[in-house]
Amino acid sequence: MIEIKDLHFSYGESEILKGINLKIRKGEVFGLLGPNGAGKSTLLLHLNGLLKPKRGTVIVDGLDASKNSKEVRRKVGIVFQDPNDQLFSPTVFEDVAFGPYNLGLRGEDLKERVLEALKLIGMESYIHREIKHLSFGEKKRIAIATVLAMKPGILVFDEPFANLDFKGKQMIRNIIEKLKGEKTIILASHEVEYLTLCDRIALIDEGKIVKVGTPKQVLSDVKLLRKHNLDVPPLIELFLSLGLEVPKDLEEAKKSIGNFLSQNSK
Amino acid sequence: MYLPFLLIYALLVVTRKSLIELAYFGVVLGCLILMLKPKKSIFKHLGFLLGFEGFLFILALFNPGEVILVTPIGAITKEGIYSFFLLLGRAFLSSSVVVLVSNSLGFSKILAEMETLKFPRILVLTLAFTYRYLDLFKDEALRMKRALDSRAFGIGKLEYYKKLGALIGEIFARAYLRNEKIYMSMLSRGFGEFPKFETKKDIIPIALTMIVLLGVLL
Ligand SMILES: Nc1ncnc2c1ncn2[C@@H]1O[C@H](COP(=O)(O)OP(=O)(O)O)[C@@H](O)[C@H]1O
Ligand SMILES: [Mg+2]
Repeated sequence: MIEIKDLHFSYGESEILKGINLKIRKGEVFGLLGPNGAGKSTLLLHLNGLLKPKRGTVIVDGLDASKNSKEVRRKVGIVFQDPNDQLFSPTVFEDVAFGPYNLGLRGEDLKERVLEALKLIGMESYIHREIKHLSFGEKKRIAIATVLAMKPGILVFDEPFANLDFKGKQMIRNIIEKLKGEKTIILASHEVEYLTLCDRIALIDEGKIVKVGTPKQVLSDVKLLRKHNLDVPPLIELFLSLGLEVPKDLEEAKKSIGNFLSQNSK
Repeated sequence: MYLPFLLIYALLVVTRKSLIELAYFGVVLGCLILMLKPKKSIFKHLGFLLGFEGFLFILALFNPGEVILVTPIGAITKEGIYSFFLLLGRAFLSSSVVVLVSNSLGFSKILAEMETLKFPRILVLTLAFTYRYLDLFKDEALRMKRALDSRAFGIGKLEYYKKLGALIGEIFARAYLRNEKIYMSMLSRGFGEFPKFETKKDIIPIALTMIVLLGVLL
Protein backbone atom coordinates (compact mmCIF):
# COMPACT_ATOMS: atom_id res chain seq x y z
CA MET A 1 0.00 0.00 0.00
CA ILE A 2 1.12 3.53 -0.73
CA GLU A 3 0.17 6.44 1.42
CA ILE A 4 0.99 9.96 0.35
CA LYS A 5 0.47 12.57 3.04
CA ASP A 6 0.56 16.31 2.47
CA LEU A 7 3.29 16.04 -0.13
CA HIS A 8 4.91 19.31 -1.17
CA PHE A 9 7.69 19.67 -3.68
CA SER A 10 9.34 22.54 -5.55
CA TYR A 11 11.92 22.92 -8.25
CA GLY A 12 13.78 26.01 -7.10
CA GLU A 13 11.24 28.73 -6.45
CA SER A 14 8.24 27.25 -8.18
CA GLU A 15 6.08 24.90 -6.16
CA ILE A 16 5.14 21.89 -8.29
CA LEU A 17 3.29 19.67 -5.79
CA LYS A 18 1.05 21.53 -3.38
CA GLY A 19 -0.10 19.17 -0.68
CA ILE A 20 -0.94 15.84 -2.28
CA ASN A 21 -2.91 13.29 -0.25
CA LEU A 22 -3.54 9.86 -1.75
CA LYS A 23 -3.93 6.26 -0.70
CA ILE A 24 -3.25 3.56 -3.25
CA ARG A 25 -4.38 0.09 -2.26
CA LYS A 26 -2.50 -3.12 -2.74
CA GLY A 27 -3.39 -4.85 -5.99
CA GLU A 28 -5.38 -2.05 -7.56
CA VAL A 29 -4.83 -0.33 -10.88
CA PHE A 30 -4.62 3.33 -10.07
CA GLY A 31 -4.75 6.06 -12.70
CA LEU A 32 -3.21 9.49 -12.36
CA LEU A 33 -4.98 11.73 -14.85
CA GLY A 34 -3.85 15.26 -15.56
CA PRO A 35 -2.85 17.66 -18.33
CA ASN A 36 0.77 18.27 -19.33
CA GLY A 37 2.69 19.96 -16.54
CA ALA A 38 0.21 18.95 -13.86
CA GLY A 39 2.96 17.34 -11.78
CA LYS A 40 2.30 13.67 -12.54
CA SER A 41 5.90 12.73 -13.34
CA THR A 42 7.16 14.70 -10.39
CA LEU A 43 4.76 12.86 -8.11
CA LEU A 44 5.79 9.47 -9.49
CA LEU A 45 9.47 10.16 -8.85
CA HIS A 46 8.62 10.48 -5.16
CA LEU A 47 7.24 6.96 -5.03
CA ASN A 48 10.67 5.35 -4.85
CA GLY A 49 12.59 8.18 -3.27
CA LEU A 50 14.20 9.55 -6.44
CA LEU A 51 12.90 12.92 -5.38
CA LYS A 52 12.60 13.89 -1.72
CA PRO A 53 9.56 15.83 -0.52
CA LYS A 54 9.98 19.34 0.72
CA ARG A 55 7.19 18.62 3.16
CA GLY A 56 5.02 15.61 3.82
CA THR A 57 5.71 11.91 3.43
CA VAL A 58 5.37 9.02 1.03
CA ILE A 59 4.92 5.70 2.83
CA VAL A 60 5.28 2.46 0.86
CA ASP A 61 4.34 -0.71 2.74
CA GLY A 62 5.07 1.08 5.97
CA LEU A 63 8.44 2.45 4.83
CA ASP A 64 9.22 6.12 4.32
CA ALA A 65 10.32 6.33 0.68
CA SER A 66 12.72 9.19 1.23
CA LYS A 67 14.48 7.49 4.12
CA ASN A 68 14.43 3.85 3.00
CA SER A 69 14.92 4.36 -0.71
CA LYS A 70 17.04 1.21 -0.86
CA GLU A 71 14.18 -1.10 0.20
CA VAL A 72 11.51 0.97 -1.46
CA ARG A 73 13.24 0.79 -4.85
CA ARG A 74 12.98 -2.97 -4.72
CA LYS A 75 9.24 -2.68 -4.18
CA VAL A 76 8.48 0.10 -6.65
CA GLY A 77 9.56 -0.16 -10.28
CA ILE A 78 9.17 2.93 -12.43
CA VAL A 79 8.89 2.84 -16.21
CA PHE A 80 9.83 6.30 -17.44
CA GLN A 81 8.01 8.04 -20.21
CA ASP A 82 10.92 8.16 -22.62
CA PRO A 83 12.52 4.72 -23.06
CA ASN A 84 15.72 6.41 -24.21
CA ASP A 85 16.17 7.64 -20.66
CA GLN A 86 15.57 4.19 -19.29
CA LEU A 87 17.70 2.14 -21.61
CA PHE A 88 21.36 3.00 -21.36
CA SER A 89 23.05 -0.24 -22.31
CA PRO A 90 24.10 -1.34 -25.78
CA THR A 91 22.04 -4.53 -25.87
CA VAL A 92 18.64 -5.64 -24.64
CA PHE A 93 20.14 -8.36 -22.47
CA GLU A 94 22.48 -5.98 -20.70
CA ASP A 95 19.82 -3.46 -19.95
CA VAL A 96 17.27 -5.94 -18.67
CA ALA A 97 20.02 -7.60 -16.62
CA PHE A 98 21.15 -4.36 -15.01
CA GLY A 99 18.55 -4.38 -12.22
CA PRO A 100 18.73 -8.09 -11.32
CA TYR A 101 22.53 -7.87 -11.42
CA ASN A 102 22.37 -5.12 -8.84
CA LEU A 103 20.12 -7.42 -6.81
CA GLY A 104 22.95 -9.94 -6.74
CA LEU A 105 21.90 -12.34 -9.51
CA ARG A 106 24.67 -13.89 -11.59
CA GLY A 107 25.23 -16.39 -14.35
CA GLU A 108 22.35 -18.71 -15.22
CA ASP A 109 20.04 -17.16 -12.61
CA LEU A 110 20.57 -13.79 -14.20
CA LYS A 111 19.93 -15.09 -17.68
CA GLU A 112 16.80 -16.88 -16.54
CA ARG A 113 15.46 -13.75 -14.91
CA VAL A 114 16.08 -11.71 -18.05
CA LEU A 115 14.32 -14.28 -20.22
CA GLU A 116 11.41 -14.46 -17.82
CA ALA A 117 10.92 -10.70 -18.02
CA LEU A 118 11.21 -10.68 -21.80
CA LYS A 119 8.70 -13.52 -22.05
CA LEU A 120 6.17 -11.54 -20.06
CA ILE A 121 6.20 -8.89 -22.77
CA GLY A 122 6.59 -11.39 -25.59
CA MET A 123 10.05 -10.29 -26.66
CA GLU A 124 12.36 -13.22 -25.86
CA SER A 125 13.68 -13.16 -29.39
CA TYR A 126 15.02 -9.64 -28.86
CA ILE A 127 17.47 -10.66 -26.16
CA HIS A 128 20.62 -10.04 -28.17
CA ARG A 129 19.36 -7.11 -30.22
CA GLU A 130 21.06 -3.74 -30.07
CA ILE A 131 18.90 -1.17 -28.38
CA LYS A 132 19.72 1.63 -30.77
CA HIS A 133 18.26 -0.39 -33.64
CA LEU A 134 14.88 -0.89 -31.97
CA SER A 135 11.78 1.11 -32.85
CA PHE A 136 10.25 3.42 -30.29
CA GLY A 137 7.46 0.98 -29.50
CA GLU A 138 9.92 -1.87 -29.04
CA LYS A 139 12.07 0.26 -26.76
CA LYS A 140 9.02 1.11 -24.74
CA ARG A 141 8.25 -2.55 -24.16
CA ILE A 142 11.86 -3.38 -23.35
CA ALA A 143 11.80 -0.55 -20.82
CA ILE A 144 8.92 -2.34 -19.12
CA ALA A 145 10.93 -5.57 -19.10
CA THR A 146 13.88 -3.85 -17.38
CA VAL A 147 11.56 -3.06 -14.51
CA LEU A 148 9.68 -6.39 -14.51
CA ALA A 149 13.02 -8.17 -14.21
CA MET A 150 13.36 -6.78 -10.71
CA LYS A 151 9.99 -8.28 -9.72
CA PRO A 152 8.65 -5.26 -7.90
CA GLY A 153 5.24 -5.54 -6.27
CA ILE A 154 4.30 -2.07 -7.44
CA LEU A 155 4.65 -1.00 -11.06
CA VAL A 156 4.56 2.62 -12.07
CA PHE A 157 4.07 3.66 -15.69
CA ASP A 158 4.61 7.26 -16.71
CA GLU A 159 2.62 8.00 -19.87
CA PRO A 160 2.87 4.43 -21.15
CA PHE A 161 0.79 5.15 -24.23
CA ALA A 162 2.42 8.37 -25.37
CA ASN A 163 3.83 8.49 -28.91
CA LEU A 164 2.76 4.98 -29.79
CA ASP A 165 0.78 3.84 -32.78
CA PHE A 166 -2.41 1.84 -32.36
CA LYS A 167 -0.68 -1.51 -32.24
CA GLY A 168 1.91 -0.20 -29.80
CA LYS A 169 -0.79 1.11 -27.50
CA GLN A 170 -2.67 -2.15 -27.74
CA MET A 171 0.44 -4.12 -26.81
CA ILE A 172 1.17 -2.00 -23.77
CA ARG A 173 -2.45 -2.31 -22.75
CA ASN A 174 -2.27 -6.08 -23.02
CA ILE A 175 0.85 -6.16 -20.89
CA ILE A 176 -0.86 -4.07 -18.24
CA GLU A 177 -3.99 -6.25 -18.36
CA LYS A 178 -1.78 -9.29 -17.91
CA LEU A 179 -0.09 -7.85 -14.83
CA LYS A 180 -3.37 -6.68 -13.35
CA GLY A 181 -4.28 -8.48 -10.15
CA GLU A 182 -0.74 -9.70 -9.66
CA LYS A 183 0.79 -6.28 -9.04
CA THR A 184 -0.24 -2.90 -7.83
CA ILE A 185 -0.20 -0.73 -10.94
CA ILE A 186 -0.05 3.02 -11.20
CA LEU A 187 -0.60 4.70 -14.56
CA ALA A 188 -0.03 8.36 -15.28
CA SER A 189 -1.57 9.74 -18.43
CA HIS A 190 -3.16 12.80 -19.94
CA GLU A 191 -5.27 10.61 -22.20
CA VAL A 192 -8.66 9.88 -20.68
CA GLU A 193 -9.43 6.90 -22.87
CA TYR A 194 -6.48 4.85 -21.63
CA LEU A 195 -7.46 5.11 -18.01
CA THR A 196 -10.77 3.29 -18.38
CA LEU A 197 -9.07 0.07 -17.35
CA CYS A 198 -8.23 1.50 -13.92
CA ASP A 199 -9.99 0.61 -10.69
CA ARG A 200 -9.68 4.17 -9.47
CA ILE A 201 -8.51 7.46 -10.95
CA ALA A 202 -7.17 10.63 -9.39
CA LEU A 203 -7.48 13.85 -11.34
CA ILE A 204 -4.46 16.05 -10.73
CA ASP A 205 -3.80 19.59 -11.93
CA GLU A 206 -1.38 22.31 -10.92
CA GLY A 207 0.10 20.14 -8.22
CA LYS A 208 -3.19 19.37 -6.49
CA ILE A 209 -5.54 16.41 -6.47
CA VAL A 210 -8.84 17.65 -7.84
CA LYS A 211 -10.91 14.50 -7.58
CA VAL A 212 -10.51 10.80 -6.76
CA GLY A 213 -12.93 8.02 -7.62
CA THR A 214 -13.90 5.19 -9.93
CA PRO A 215 -13.54 5.84 -13.67
CA LYS A 216 -17.27 6.36 -13.80
CA GLN A 217 -17.16 8.98 -11.07
CA VAL A 218 -14.18 10.87 -12.45
CA LEU A 219 -14.65 10.51 -16.19
CA SER A 220 -18.37 11.23 -16.18
CA ASP A 221 -17.79 14.86 -15.27
CA VAL A 222 -16.95 16.02 -18.77
CA LYS A 223 -17.12 19.68 -17.79
CA LEU A 224 -14.57 19.14 -15.07
CA LEU A 225 -12.23 17.27 -17.43
CA ARG A 226 -12.47 20.00 -20.06
CA LYS A 227 -11.82 22.64 -17.43
CA HIS A 228 -8.54 20.89 -16.71
CA ASN A 229 -7.55 20.79 -20.37
CA LEU A 230 -8.25 17.12 -20.81
CA ASP A 231 -9.50 15.82 -24.09
CA VAL A 232 -12.66 13.77 -23.70
CA PRO A 233 -12.99 11.25 -26.53
CA PRO A 234 -16.31 11.52 -28.38
CA LEU A 235 -17.14 7.88 -27.68
CA ILE A 236 -16.84 8.35 -23.94
CA GLU A 237 -18.96 11.46 -24.20
CA LEU A 238 -21.53 9.50 -26.19
CA PHE A 239 -21.76 6.78 -23.56
CA LEU A 240 -22.19 9.34 -20.84
CA SER A 241 -24.85 11.29 -22.69
CA LEU A 242 -26.78 8.04 -23.20
CA GLY A 243 -26.60 7.50 -19.45
CA LEU A 244 -24.35 4.47 -19.84
CA GLU A 245 -21.30 3.54 -17.80
CA VAL A 246 -17.88 4.25 -19.25
CA PRO A 247 -16.85 0.88 -20.74
CA LYS A 248 -13.48 -0.64 -19.81
CA ASP A 249 -12.80 -1.90 -23.33
CA LEU A 250 -14.35 -2.59 -26.70
CA GLU A 251 -16.06 -5.82 -25.59
CA GLU A 252 -17.76 -4.07 -22.73
CA ALA A 253 -18.74 -1.22 -25.03
CA LYS A 254 -20.37 -3.60 -27.50
CA LYS A 255 -22.30 -5.35 -24.76
CA SER A 256 -23.43 -2.11 -23.24
CA ILE A 257 -24.61 -0.72 -26.60
CA GLY A 258 -26.38 -4.04 -27.32
CA ASN A 259 -28.25 -3.89 -24.03
CA PHE A 260 -29.09 -0.27 -24.57
CA LEU A 261 -30.53 -0.93 -28.03
CA SER A 262 -32.59 -3.92 -27.00
CA GLN A 263 -33.99 -2.02 -24.02
CA ASN A 264 -34.92 0.98 -26.09
CA SER A 265 -36.47 -0.95 -28.93
CA LYS A 266 -39.01 -2.51 -26.58
CA MET B 1 36.93 -8.66 -11.74
CA TYR B 2 38.41 -7.35 -14.92
CA LEU B 3 38.59 -3.78 -13.85
CA PRO B 4 41.93 -3.82 -12.02
CA PHE B 5 43.41 -5.61 -14.98
CA LEU B 6 42.03 -3.03 -17.39
CA LEU B 7 43.37 -0.16 -15.35
CA ILE B 8 46.80 -1.62 -14.84
CA TYR B 9 47.05 -2.67 -18.45
CA ALA B 10 45.99 0.73 -19.75
CA LEU B 11 48.19 2.60 -17.32
CA LEU B 12 51.24 0.53 -18.17
CA VAL B 13 50.60 0.73 -21.90
CA VAL B 14 50.39 4.49 -22.03
CA THR B 15 53.62 4.86 -20.07
CA ARG B 16 55.70 2.51 -22.28
CA LYS B 17 58.58 4.13 -24.13
CA SER B 18 59.62 1.49 -26.64
CA LEU B 19 57.95 -0.52 -29.36
CA ILE B 20 59.35 -3.77 -28.00
CA GLU B 21 57.58 -3.25 -24.70
CA LEU B 22 54.39 -2.45 -26.57
CA ALA B 23 54.77 -5.63 -28.58
CA TYR B 24 54.68 -7.54 -25.31
CA PHE B 25 51.36 -5.89 -24.45
CA GLY B 26 50.16 -6.71 -27.91
CA VAL B 27 50.80 -10.37 -27.19
CA VAL B 28 48.85 -10.12 -23.93
CA LEU B 29 45.97 -8.56 -25.85
CA GLY B 30 46.14 -11.40 -28.33
CA CYS B 31 45.91 -13.93 -25.50
CA LEU B 32 42.93 -12.03 -24.10
CA ILE B 33 41.19 -12.24 -27.45
CA LEU B 34 41.79 -15.98 -27.56
CA MET B 35 40.43 -16.42 -24.05
CA LEU B 36 37.37 -14.19 -24.28
CA LYS B 37 36.42 -15.43 -27.75
CA PRO B 38 34.57 -12.22 -28.64
CA LYS B 39 31.96 -11.93 -31.34
CA LYS B 40 33.19 -11.29 -34.88
CA SER B 41 31.70 -7.81 -34.97
CA ILE B 42 34.24 -6.67 -32.43
CA PHE B 43 37.02 -6.91 -34.97
CA LYS B 44 35.20 -4.38 -37.10
CA HIS B 45 35.10 -2.06 -34.08
CA LEU B 46 38.79 -2.59 -33.47
CA GLY B 47 39.57 -1.98 -37.13
CA PHE B 48 37.62 1.26 -37.01
CA LEU B 49 39.47 2.24 -33.84
CA LEU B 50 42.85 1.51 -35.45
CA GLY B 51 42.00 3.56 -38.51
CA PHE B 52 40.65 6.41 -36.47
CA GLU B 53 43.64 6.57 -34.15
CA GLY B 54 46.04 6.15 -37.02
CA PHE B 55 44.46 9.16 -38.68
CA LEU B 56 44.69 11.08 -35.41
CA PHE B 57 48.44 10.57 -35.08
CA ILE B 58 49.37 10.92 -38.71
CA LEU B 59 51.07 14.24 -38.07
CA ALA B 60 53.65 12.50 -35.91
CA LEU B 61 55.11 11.01 -39.09
CA PHE B 62 56.49 14.41 -39.99
CA ASN B 63 58.45 14.89 -36.76
CA PRO B 64 61.89 16.36 -37.32
CA GLY B 65 64.65 13.81 -37.87
CA GLU B 66 66.31 11.63 -40.49
CA VAL B 67 64.30 12.08 -43.68
CA ILE B 68 63.10 8.91 -45.36
CA LEU B 69 60.48 10.05 -47.81
CA VAL B 70 59.56 13.49 -49.08
CA THR B 71 55.85 13.98 -49.73
CA PRO B 72 54.03 17.10 -50.99
CA ILE B 73 52.91 17.88 -47.45
CA GLY B 74 56.27 17.37 -45.75
CA ALA B 75 59.10 15.00 -45.05
CA ILE B 76 58.44 11.69 -43.32
CA THR B 77 61.27 10.86 -40.95
CA LYS B 78 62.60 7.74 -39.28
CA GLU B 79 61.95 9.26 -35.86
CA GLY B 80 58.51 10.26 -37.08
CA ILE B 81 57.61 6.71 -38.03
CA TYR B 82 58.86 5.44 -34.71
CA SER B 83 56.84 7.91 -32.68
CA PHE B 84 53.82 7.34 -34.92
CA PHE B 85 53.81 3.65 -34.10
CA LEU B 86 54.54 4.32 -30.46
CA LEU B 87 51.60 6.69 -30.16
CA LEU B 88 49.34 4.48 -32.18
CA GLY B 89 50.40 1.40 -30.21
CA ARG B 90 49.68 3.07 -26.89
CA ALA B 91 46.36 4.47 -27.95
CA PHE B 92 45.20 1.39 -29.77
CA LEU B 93 46.23 -1.15 -27.15
CA SER B 94 44.81 0.78 -24.22
CA SER B 95 41.52 1.54 -25.94
CA SER B 96 41.04 -1.83 -27.57
CA VAL B 97 41.51 -3.72 -24.31
CA VAL B 98 38.65 -1.71 -22.88
CA VAL B 99 36.49 -2.22 -25.96
CA LEU B 100 37.26 -5.90 -25.96
CA VAL B 101 36.48 -6.54 -22.32
CA SER B 102 33.43 -4.32 -22.11
CA ASN B 103 31.99 -5.83 -25.26
CA SER B 104 32.43 -9.40 -24.20
CA LEU B 105 31.46 -8.86 -20.57
CA GLY B 106 28.94 -6.11 -20.95
CA PHE B 107 29.44 -2.53 -20.02
CA SER B 108 26.99 -2.65 -17.14
CA LYS B 109 29.11 -5.32 -15.50
CA ILE B 110 32.14 -3.10 -15.67
CA LEU B 111 30.08 -0.38 -14.03
CA ALA B 112 28.97 -2.75 -11.31
CA GLU B 113 32.58 -3.78 -10.74
CA MET B 114 33.55 -0.16 -10.32
CA GLU B 115 30.82 0.15 -7.73
CA THR B 116 31.95 -2.92 -5.85
CA LEU B 117 35.51 -1.61 -5.81
CA LYS B 118 34.20 1.59 -4.24
CA PHE B 119 35.25 3.86 -7.06
CA PRO B 120 34.16 7.42 -6.53
CA ARG B 121 30.56 7.67 -7.69
CA ILE B 122 31.31 10.67 -9.85
CA LEU B 123 33.94 8.73 -11.80
CA VAL B 124 31.61 5.80 -12.41
CA LEU B 125 28.86 8.07 -13.60
CA THR B 126 31.09 10.15 -15.80
CA LEU B 127 32.25 6.99 -17.47
CA ALA B 128 28.74 5.64 -17.81
CA PHE B 129 27.49 8.84 -19.35
CA THR B 130 30.48 9.24 -21.60
CA TYR B 131 29.83 5.79 -22.86
CA ARG B 132 26.21 6.58 -23.37
CA TYR B 133 27.05 9.89 -25.04
CA LEU B 134 29.36 8.16 -27.46
CA ASP B 135 26.61 5.88 -28.60
CA LEU B 136 24.05 8.65 -28.75
CA PHE B 137 26.58 10.87 -30.37
CA LYS B 138 27.38 8.47 -33.16
CA ASP B 139 23.74 7.67 -33.68
CA GLU B 140 22.33 11.13 -33.51
CA ALA B 141 25.22 12.61 -35.46
CA LEU B 142 24.54 10.18 -38.26
CA ARG B 143 20.86 11.03 -38.37
CA MET B 144 21.42 14.75 -38.17
CA LYS B 145 24.14 14.62 -40.77
CA ARG B 146 21.76 12.82 -43.06
CA ALA B 147 19.21 15.55 -42.46
CA LEU B 148 21.86 18.16 -43.15
CA ASP B 149 23.12 16.43 -46.27
CA SER B 150 19.65 16.05 -47.68
CA ARG B 151 19.19 19.80 -47.54
CA ALA B 152 22.73 21.09 -47.88
CA PHE B 153 23.11 21.17 -51.62
CA GLY B 154 24.35 24.39 -53.06
CA ILE B 155 26.21 25.64 -50.00
CA GLY B 156 29.98 26.03 -49.96
CA LYS B 157 32.37 23.63 -48.25
CA LEU B 158 33.20 26.11 -45.52
CA GLU B 159 29.55 26.79 -44.85
CA TYR B 160 28.92 23.08 -44.74
CA TYR B 161 31.60 22.43 -42.12
CA LYS B 162 30.35 25.35 -40.06
CA LYS B 163 26.91 23.79 -40.03
CA LEU B 164 28.39 20.44 -39.18
CA GLY B 165 30.21 22.00 -36.23
CA ALA B 166 27.04 23.58 -34.89
CA LEU B 167 25.30 20.28 -35.28
CA ILE B 168 27.90 18.49 -33.18
CA GLY B 169 27.49 21.08 -30.43
CA GLU B 170 23.76 20.50 -30.50
CA ILE B 171 24.24 16.76 -30.16
CA PHE B 172 26.37 17.20 -27.05
CA ALA B 173 23.83 19.53 -25.52
CA ARG B 174 21.04 17.05 -26.09
CA ALA B 175 23.04 14.18 -24.69
CA TYR B 176 23.88 16.19 -21.62
CA LEU B 177 20.25 17.00 -20.88
CA ARG B 178 19.51 13.34 -20.77
CA ASN B 179 22.03 12.38 -18.11
CA GLU B 180 19.89 13.26 -15.11
CA LYS B 181 17.11 10.98 -16.26
CA ILE B 182 19.49 8.15 -17.07
CA TYR B 183 20.96 8.44 -13.60
CA MET B 184 17.48 8.19 -12.12
CA SER B 185 16.80 5.13 -14.19
CA MET B 186 19.99 3.55 -12.88
CA LEU B 187 19.11 4.43 -9.29
CA SER B 188 15.63 2.96 -9.76
CA ARG B 189 17.21 -0.30 -10.65
CA GLY B 190 19.43 -0.57 -7.64
CA PHE B 191 22.55 1.14 -8.89
CA GLY B 192 24.84 1.73 -5.92
CA GLU B 193 22.09 0.95 -3.45
CA PHE B 194 21.85 -2.79 -3.16
CA PRO B 195 24.53 -5.07 -1.79
CA LYS B 196 26.78 -6.60 -4.39
CA PHE B 197 27.90 -10.18 -4.19
CA GLU B 198 30.66 -11.31 -6.46
CA THR B 199 29.91 -15.02 -6.69
CA LYS B 200 32.29 -16.28 -9.32
CA LYS B 201 36.00 -15.83 -8.81
CA ASP B 202 37.41 -15.27 -12.23
CA ILE B 203 40.93 -16.55 -12.68
CA ILE B 204 41.66 -15.11 -16.12
CA PRO B 205 41.90 -11.43 -15.19
CA ILE B 206 43.98 -12.16 -12.09
CA ALA B 207 46.41 -14.28 -14.07
CA LEU B 208 46.61 -11.68 -16.81
CA THR B 209 47.33 -8.92 -14.35
CA MET B 210 50.15 -10.95 -12.87
CA ILE B 211 51.59 -11.67 -16.30
CA VAL B 212 51.49 -8.03 -17.28
CA LEU B 213 53.11 -6.89 -14.04
CA LEU B 214 55.81 -9.55 -14.24
CA GLY B 215 56.56 -8.73 -17.85
CA VAL B 216 57.09 -5.09 -17.06
CA LEU B 217 59.24 -5.77 -14.03
CA LEU B 218 61.58 -8.08 -15.90
N1 LIG C 1 13.86 19.16 -13.62
C1 LIG C 1 12.97 20.16 -13.56
N2 LIG C 1 13.36 21.41 -13.24
C2 LIG C 1 12.49 22.42 -13.16
N3 LIG C 1 11.17 22.30 -13.41
C3 LIG C 1 10.70 21.11 -13.73
C4 LIG C 1 11.57 19.96 -13.84
N4 LIG C 1 10.82 18.90 -14.18
C5 LIG C 1 9.56 19.35 -14.30
N5 LIG C 1 9.47 20.66 -14.04
C6 LIG C 1 8.24 21.47 -14.04
O1 LIG C 1 7.35 20.89 -13.14
C7 LIG C 1 6.02 20.96 -13.62
C8 LIG C 1 5.39 19.59 -13.58
O2 LIG C 1 6.08 18.74 -14.47
P1 LIG C 1 5.75 17.20 -14.61
O3 LIG C 1 5.74 16.58 -13.27
O4 LIG C 1 6.71 16.66 -15.60
O5 LIG C 1 4.29 17.24 -15.22
P2 LIG C 1 3.48 16.12 -15.99
O6 LIG C 1 4.25 14.85 -15.88
O7 LIG C 1 2.16 16.06 -15.32
O8 LIG C 1 3.35 16.58 -17.40
C9 LIG C 1 6.10 21.55 -15.03
O9 LIG C 1 5.72 22.88 -14.96
C10 LIG C 1 7.55 21.44 -15.39
O10 LIG C 1 7.96 22.49 -16.20
MG1 LIG D 1 5.10 13.68 -17.32
